[in-house]
Amino acid sequence: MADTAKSSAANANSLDKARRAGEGRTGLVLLAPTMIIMTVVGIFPLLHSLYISLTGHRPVDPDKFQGFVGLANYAQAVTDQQFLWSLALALLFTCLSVGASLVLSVLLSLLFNLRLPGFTILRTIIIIPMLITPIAVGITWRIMMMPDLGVLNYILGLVGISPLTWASSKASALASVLLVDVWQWTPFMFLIIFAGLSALPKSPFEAAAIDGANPAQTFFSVTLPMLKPVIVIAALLRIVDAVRTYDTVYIITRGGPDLATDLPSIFLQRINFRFFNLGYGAATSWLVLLFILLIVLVFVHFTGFMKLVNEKENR
Amino acid sequence: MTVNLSNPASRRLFMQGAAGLAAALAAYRASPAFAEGGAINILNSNTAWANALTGSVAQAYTAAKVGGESNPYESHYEKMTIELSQGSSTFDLITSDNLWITQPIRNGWAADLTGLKTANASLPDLKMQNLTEASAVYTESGGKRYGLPLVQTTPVFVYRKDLFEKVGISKVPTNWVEFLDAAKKLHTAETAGACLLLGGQDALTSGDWGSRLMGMTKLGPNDDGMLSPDNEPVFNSEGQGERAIELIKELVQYCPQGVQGFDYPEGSSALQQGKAAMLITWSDVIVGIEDGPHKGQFGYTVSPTEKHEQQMVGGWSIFANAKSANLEEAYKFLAWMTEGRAYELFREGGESSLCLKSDLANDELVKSIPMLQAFRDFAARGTTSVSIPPYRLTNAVEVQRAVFEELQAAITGGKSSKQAMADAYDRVNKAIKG
Repeated sequence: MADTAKSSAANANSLDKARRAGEGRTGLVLLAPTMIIMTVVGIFPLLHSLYISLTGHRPVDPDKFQGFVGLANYAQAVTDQQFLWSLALALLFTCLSVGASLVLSVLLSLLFNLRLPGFTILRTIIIIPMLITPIAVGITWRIMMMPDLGVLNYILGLVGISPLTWASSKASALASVLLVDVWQWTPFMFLIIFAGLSALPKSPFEAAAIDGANPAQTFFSVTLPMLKPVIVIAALLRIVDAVRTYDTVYIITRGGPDLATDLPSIFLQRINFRFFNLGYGAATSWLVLLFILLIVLVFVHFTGFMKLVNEKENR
Repeated sequence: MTVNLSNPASRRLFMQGAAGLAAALAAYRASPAFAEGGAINILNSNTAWANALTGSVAQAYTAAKVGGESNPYESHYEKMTIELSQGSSTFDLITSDNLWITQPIRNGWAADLTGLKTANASLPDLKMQNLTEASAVYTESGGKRYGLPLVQTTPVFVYRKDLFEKVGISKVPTNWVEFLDAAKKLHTAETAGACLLLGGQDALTSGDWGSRLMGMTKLGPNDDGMLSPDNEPVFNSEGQGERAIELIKELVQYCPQGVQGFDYPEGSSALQQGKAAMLITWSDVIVGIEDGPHKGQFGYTVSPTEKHEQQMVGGWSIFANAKSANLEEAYKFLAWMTEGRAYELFREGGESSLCLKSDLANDELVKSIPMLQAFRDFAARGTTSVSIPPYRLTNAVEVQRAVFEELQAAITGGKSSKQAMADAYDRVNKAIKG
């Protein structure tokens, strides 16, 4: 009897294993097309660019050495003043752009949370900048910022302010492209933060009111801590995007004047697709990728992002 | 045998069969064999002559269907280089700024038209005698012809005749001292004395700085003023590079606000809208200047010089892709172009940087296209043409960029002219040999 029970249990086990194996095979078959596509369009180019970064590949200049150069391109990059300048500029640009967008989007969210009449339409209008293609944004702002013929200086003139040089001078070019970036991407952060604010429970605010907290105390002690996970995620997405900024800045200043707005994406475009120095371009691209990863890791560390994620998962 | 389409299996089979036939037809149409039936595909730019090339010129040519793809300046270069370096045969003919032309010729990407004609004597001759010599030099290498000029350009001095009269300037400046004096006299709060284009790589390097540099030392017709024939930097051999920077720096205070960021479009707009009285720019990028409120008030002449009457002549060229499956058709189209009608159609399409000799010799035409006067003034001033720098290099764009960055640093005060030129020498040497 016991033998029969053992034997039927063993049979059931082996059937279960066979079924699981079958399911596993089906899963693999179903995943195969995606895996193949991912390998072809994602992993292979990534590995190939890593290989290229170890060579002197320059298709426009066959006279020069094209073969394996080891880590020479990386060594050149870490002493290349122009490359290091572009990274420093990216850091400054990202901090200022994300910081300004963050403050503005939190303020806008608080304002729109008052739910005053007409705000629903205004909320739709306010997200329009992020819906416009960056090339069109760049061209429009470039024209608006023309010192003599642009509308911005015309408006300043109407209120008695002297015309500015905007993107045309080394001193104000970075501030000008920052203005455009903040204008275009604040709505993106606003959408996320406003959604987070709208979803907050009412009871903590009621408790704060009963305890006699003023609006500033409520904001700093209740709203902001509760919004932190949403703000961190919105800021993280914007940071990655800001470091990679290309289109609008390329159209407005092309990295100038005198490298004043030469962000990494513009530097990389120049090395890769103007000079076709693909070996060096691939190496600097990898370093920019590592730079972005480093920024993200620092941000994640200091904001306690992983702790927030773990808390969420535990709940 | 009957096919029952109400049966799902038969229906599926029918649909699969139809899809297979459609795919086979599409593959056939896309095959080189079909293309060889007489279609020429051109990688094209987006200027007046370029629009005419795939528009009215394509229509006028009846021996084959001519089409193409237009691209803005910089993406044109990227696309050309990517296509050709990868051995693509998508485009049979490629248009190219003469600044880039050495790259396809030296790298074997441009077809040897002389060799094609030698291999097949039945092909028509290229009537190069109809086109100006200065424009044709860029597509000739080692005694072989690799393409044709499309337009020839030169730095043109555009000025407001009415403002000259108003301030009593009776002689149009022919040297840089006179040019600076005129800028001082013309400068008002509403209209700047002159305009510089300090924000554009080509506009500053070959336009503003290059036009000043070329008249300072004696150059041969194939010299480019920047590099010696063995590609050694010579642009500051007698201090002329520094002197050209200083001339620009002296002028900045008489220019519109923000010229540090100006490129070709901003310069043309400033002049067109009456915000500047004088501008030196390439002849092909001032098309449309007469469409503004000051139509008819502009004068055009050859750029000022210093010691020697020398002017750059650049432009665009067209060559056949060596990998094209349609080489003979492409050659025949080019041969037809040299007969002249194509160039007339460029002009009729709004192009004024002409390279057809008969156009430049036509007095009536010069009256109707005032900008042509700049080319006519070559003879009156005894001007000789020199090449655009640094066209002889395969990485001309990279070398031009290195010089541009140093010029910007000197003009915006980041470096002295001397230091900028010394750094430019180092960087150019590194870009060429490194």
